[in-house]
Amino acid sequence: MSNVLPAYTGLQVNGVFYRYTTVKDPDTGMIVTVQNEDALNAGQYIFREQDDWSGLPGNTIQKAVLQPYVDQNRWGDGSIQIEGQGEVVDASVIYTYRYDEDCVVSPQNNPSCPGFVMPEIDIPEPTAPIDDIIQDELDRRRVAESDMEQDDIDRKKIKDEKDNGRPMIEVLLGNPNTSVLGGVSQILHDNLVLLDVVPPSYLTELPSTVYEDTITLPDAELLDNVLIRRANYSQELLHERLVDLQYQLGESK
Amino acid sequence: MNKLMLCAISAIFVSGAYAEEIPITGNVESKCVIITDTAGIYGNPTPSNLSTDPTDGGVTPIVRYDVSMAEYYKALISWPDEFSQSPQLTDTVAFDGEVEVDRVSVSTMSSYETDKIEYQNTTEYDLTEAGSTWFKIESEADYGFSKAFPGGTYRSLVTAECIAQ
Repeated sequence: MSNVLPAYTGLQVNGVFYRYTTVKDPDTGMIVTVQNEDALNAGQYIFREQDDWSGLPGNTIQKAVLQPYVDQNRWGDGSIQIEGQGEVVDASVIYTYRYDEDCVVSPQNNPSCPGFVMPEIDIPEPTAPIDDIIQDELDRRRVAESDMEQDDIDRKKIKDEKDNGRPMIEVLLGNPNTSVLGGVSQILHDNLVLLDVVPPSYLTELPSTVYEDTITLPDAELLDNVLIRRANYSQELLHERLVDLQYQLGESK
Repeated sequence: MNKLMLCAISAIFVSGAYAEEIPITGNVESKCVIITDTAGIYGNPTPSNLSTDPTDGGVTPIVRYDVSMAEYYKALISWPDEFSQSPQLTDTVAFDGEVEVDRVSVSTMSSYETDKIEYQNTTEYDLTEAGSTWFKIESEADYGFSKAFPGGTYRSLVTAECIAQ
């Protein structure tokens, strides 16, 4: 079959179409077999189709037999075998196939290509036992975390020391400003007094005097009116009734 | 009395409304398909003759029957007995034809040819096997008594039918 199918990597046959004409006596027996050997299994056939023409007149047969995408390397030599009396003429067998162009270029282009070899990745063998490697890694991480925590503490300590030794900037700026502001205000005040712009009452001090209360109200009793008294009485009655109720309940027990 | 009668009539109408008509639908796909494999061409070997025979310069039309269920259908194929298109003809045209099995997809279909029934211009085949069968239809037309056909286009039709048995 190497001279029939193109030598493409990954080629798969998906159909066989054959056609031939039998020349025979209708009364004679004749079996025609169209077949291909299985190249990988000696004595077996990858394709085998029989037509029984026994007791039938000769005719032309055309048949299409689908194949389940059989790899090219399975297809061995093909033949048309005749059992009985008769002759086969004008025979033709056509194979339909498919192939992946990527696989033709190189099987490594696609893992689905026949002949694809999984590339090997070199992983260096560990020189120490795996448990020691894991323990070393854990220790290294623990030391690194401890160092980071210590660095944070030191950094915070230095910052606090700097903050304690540094006077507040608003205090530093406030003192001279207050004294400067006081001096400027005093000069402005003096100028205003000289200009006689400020009313004299602004400059006069009021005497420190205590004004005692002189009005006294005599104690008196404000009596409730009738409605209030009635309400108070009814509430008192209700209260007594409720108080007595607990004793009545106790007696009933 | 009138009121009672009306009540009775309305009760009858109400009880009659329980009748229902329930539709049932179904689609049947044909198990016999006819496909034109090759369109025919008339050759003109002599002025008075038109023929589809390849030796006369014609092309024999071929029709394919695809049957998926055996022994359910008949193939009725008729070779033409008149032109469907032609120039004005003033004389008679004698048509002749033949239908034959050209190819089969199953060897046992080879018996179709021996079992066929011919009448008038029609050939009948029992499609007793499932598969594809190719039929070739030969057609020949002779004009008058060796009279030349007028120039023009000549068309005729082959009728191929698939009849359920």
